Amino acid sequence: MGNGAGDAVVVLEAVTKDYPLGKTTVHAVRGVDIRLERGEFAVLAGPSGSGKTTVLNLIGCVDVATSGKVIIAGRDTKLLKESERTRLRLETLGFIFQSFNLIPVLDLYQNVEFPLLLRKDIDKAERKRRVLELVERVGLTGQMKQRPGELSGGQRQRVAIARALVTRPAIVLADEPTANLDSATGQSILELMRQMNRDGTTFLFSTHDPVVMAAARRVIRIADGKIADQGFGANPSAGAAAAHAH
Amino acid sequence: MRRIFVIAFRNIFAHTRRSAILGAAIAFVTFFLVSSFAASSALQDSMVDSATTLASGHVNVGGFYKASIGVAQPQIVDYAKVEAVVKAASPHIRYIQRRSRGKFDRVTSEKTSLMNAVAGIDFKQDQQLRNRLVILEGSFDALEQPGTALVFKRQADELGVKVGDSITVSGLTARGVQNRMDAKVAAIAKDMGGLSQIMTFLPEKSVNELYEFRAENTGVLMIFLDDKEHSLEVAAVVRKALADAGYDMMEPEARPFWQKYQTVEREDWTGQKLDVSTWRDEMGDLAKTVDALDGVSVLLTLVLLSIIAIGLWNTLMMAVRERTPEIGALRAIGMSRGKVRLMFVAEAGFLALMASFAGAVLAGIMVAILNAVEIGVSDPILQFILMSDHLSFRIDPARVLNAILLISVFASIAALWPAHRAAKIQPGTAMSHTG
Ligand SMILES: Nc1ncnc2c1ncn2[C@@H]1O[C@H](COP(=O)(O)OP(=O)(O)OP(=O)(O)O)[C@@H](O)[C@H]1O
Ligand SMILES: [Mg+2]
Repeated sequence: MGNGAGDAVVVLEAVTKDYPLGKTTVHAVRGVDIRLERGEFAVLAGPSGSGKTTVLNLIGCVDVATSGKVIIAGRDTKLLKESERTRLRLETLGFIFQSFNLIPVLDLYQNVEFPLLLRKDIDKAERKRRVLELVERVGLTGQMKQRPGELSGGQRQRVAIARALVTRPAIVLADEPTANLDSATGQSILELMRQMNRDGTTFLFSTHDPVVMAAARRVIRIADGKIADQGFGANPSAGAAAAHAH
Repeated sequence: MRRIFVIAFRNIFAHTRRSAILGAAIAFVTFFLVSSFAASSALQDSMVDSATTLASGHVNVGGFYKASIGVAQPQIVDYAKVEAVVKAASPHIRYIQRRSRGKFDRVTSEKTSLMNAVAGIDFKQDQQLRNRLVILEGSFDALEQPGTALVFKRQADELGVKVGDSITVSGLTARGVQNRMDAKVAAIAKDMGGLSQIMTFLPEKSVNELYEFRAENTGVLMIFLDDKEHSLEVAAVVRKALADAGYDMMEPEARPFWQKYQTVEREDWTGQKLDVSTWRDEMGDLAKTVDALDGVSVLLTLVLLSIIAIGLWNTLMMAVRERTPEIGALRAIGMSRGKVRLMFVAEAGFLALMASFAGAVLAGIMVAILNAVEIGVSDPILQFILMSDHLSFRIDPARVLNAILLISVFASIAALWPAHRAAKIQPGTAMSHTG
């Protein structure tokens, strides 16, 4: 893996993001280069306010960089119209949110199915096959008819994972996916994502939880809007955190 | 996409209290609109009914004959020729009924006297009268004798007459002679709205004698159609046919014929002019009043709807705020702005559709009950306006459908701005939100 630009799912080049804040400007991201290859399981780690969410938003095409290049699956997102970015999100990206954000009035099955309904290229039989497969893989086959309100936090996040994966995205983005869960549930969610990764899905998530960092194959460290460590090679702090957790 | 409508539909029931309040308000407005439409439909019905029984066909050919400039007689000279032209004019014509028109003249009993419109009827032939009038005392057959009269119940009470009693009818002829004629009351009919309070029917022959009309002339040819909806169209066709046959025609005018005397007598022509009118024309201002009533209820509905639109707007804005993370997430996973907008508009539309349907059903139930109970009206002025002696309602399905559609479309329009706001929610709001 990782031989040539063809396999890069995400390429950020000298990306900055400024937010106006009253009369001043917040430089949330100040010149970030990141390259993620197909099949990675990477964590974006850093203290609060370091710019993790901002970077994820830029990669997720829900926000536009102030300068620099954001290339997702070979497409320069700056050149896309709003409707094209929406389509890119639908077809190429998967999202898992900290607060799950399922549709309360739909049941589990319908929530997982939803992104597929937004697409015209997937027929009914294929839809059903994919949804049932993912619901089984996240271990919720018995809760198919339940609505989010009837599920626990961990179960909801499993539904969210199934929903994110059902479109077979090039990369799944998760902003602090375990922050609203107790540590045991967080662990099992993490385990589930790692399993999905072994089966071929690329993941990038943010966290400041050492336990989560320990689970990652690559930890990209961000501080003050800049990359402090690309996470290649030895990762003593992740190892230490893992040791600390056990 | 069907699932979006499912979400919209279920969201209505996810916020029971909010939806119930809004729904109740929408249902109330629909209830109001449908009930008032039902009242005006019934009013229209009884207006047509009483007009076309007592004073008019669906379409009429009347007119005036002026021997000199100042004196007009309500006469069609040699009506048989006119009737032949009319008959051939339209396939919608079912039959034509002839009546003599008198003027407003004095009807006197031993007790009192009234000013009434006198009409001469061929009681043997007049199917419309025979079918529609309810005879309380006496009979139609007795009216075939000259020198008899048919009066309505309220008049009979005022005059203090029963069947067999005599009344005196006076009539002013074209020569300016005041003729008088005694007539025996041969039948008393049930009142039929306001018009029946001012009409007295005599046999055609007696009226012709009273006013010195010739037998080959008549007052009006009342034309009955297969459907009253064709009235305007047939009136135009008949008017043209008569003009083509060489008759001088009066301009169409929405006034009953007796209000036209003065104008006609002031005009400087002599001889015959024919006048084609519809039943609506003969009802004059009353028909306009019913239309105005409809206008007022539509206007009031729009006002009420505007208030509801504000409520709807408020509620949806609240929903948009509450559901911001959810919508942000939907936007993030690839739902388009248009679909978000559609979801909110559909929610308002569904709510309005259900609520207004419920309101219409309630109105239907109330109308059915009120019709069954038959609430009587004894005030003569109210009777005159209602054209009936009891309150009645008729639900016209087409108008109910219109009301429901009007209200639902209105609600959907009110939802446009909140829906637009929802569509503008940034997908990023879902990312950092903690909840
Ligand atoms: N919409 C915005 N408007 C103004 N400033 C913003 C906005 N979003 C983020 N920022 C600022 O940009 C900086 C980076 O924020 P970001 O949310 O990316 O940090 P983070 O690493 O995700 O933090 P946390 O761990 O607390 O979630 C912060 O200083 C934050 O206040
Ligand atoms: Mg964050």
